[in-house]
Amino acid sequence: MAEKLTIGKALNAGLRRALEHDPKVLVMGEDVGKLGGVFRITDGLQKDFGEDRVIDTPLAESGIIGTAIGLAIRGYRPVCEIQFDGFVYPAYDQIVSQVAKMHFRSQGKVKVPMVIRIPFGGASARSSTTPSRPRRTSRTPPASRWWRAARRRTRTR
Amino acid sequence: MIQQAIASDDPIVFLEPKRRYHEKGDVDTEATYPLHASRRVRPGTDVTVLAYGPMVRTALDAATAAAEDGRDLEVFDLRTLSPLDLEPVYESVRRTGRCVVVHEAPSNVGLGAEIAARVTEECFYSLEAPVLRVTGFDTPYPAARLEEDYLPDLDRVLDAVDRTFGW
Repeated sequence: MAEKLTIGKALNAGLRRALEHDPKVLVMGEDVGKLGGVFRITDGLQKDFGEDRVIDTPLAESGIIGTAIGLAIRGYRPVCEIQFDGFVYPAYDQIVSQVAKMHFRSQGKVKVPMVIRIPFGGASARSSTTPSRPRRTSRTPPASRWWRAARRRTRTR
Repeated sequence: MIQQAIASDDPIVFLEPKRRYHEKGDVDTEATYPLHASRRVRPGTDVTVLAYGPMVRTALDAATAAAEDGRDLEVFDLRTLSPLDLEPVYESVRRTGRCVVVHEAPSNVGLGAEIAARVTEECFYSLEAPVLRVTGFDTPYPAARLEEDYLPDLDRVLDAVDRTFGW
């Protein structure tokens, strides 16, 4: 069945359904609970599934991933959120040295069924600095396309 | 896709394009498409354009603009970066003979380099031009005011498409 949704709402619906279907699924990260995530991807999940399943963690990425590894090895399915891609580096050692290698290192005996959600890519400043950049934000996608297409023609001719 | 990622027994890093969070689209709530598979999002005949995450929209916009110039771009959403599902891409490049890879990350030792190497290995005798990359620059990520100049845009994708016809 197809529905018309934003990517953010679709992710929220997907997480909600995963929490409903499997009691071992946990959501954890900075501000994912009470606030609903800085991008509102986990909005309303803590209210409906409780603080034991949608967990606000301390501001320590290495700790988030490290805790999730332990939970995953013991049968849970943690879904961690790293708030922004730029914040992932403190957790990088855990991801590279433990998450990525555990299955191989244990000769397939240990599984680490966890998901690390990372909002990534450009235009991160758009929302936080919108007031100071009216020109950029008022440029609608169709208009920018025409403007750029026109610029290209003059450049390549 | 997020549900499939959670259901998977393997650890998965799930990258969400933050500037596309508010874009609307049809969502298949039953999620029947395979998790580790690329997807052809626009069929075409002249150039194969590969992208993932936020650059898929840019590639599609470039395809729309290129259509006005009479160039028919085939656009792939790679969807999964490790493992890479390139079989459909090889099939496409053998038809089009041209390939452009688009990503936001810098080009040096980037995913585009790996893809270019693999496509060249598999499709060498079909290629009419080298596999070109449209990427961020090899600098630290810039301040907000310069972001739009750093990130690949429609213009740079179309320039690369033009260059593949220059060989």
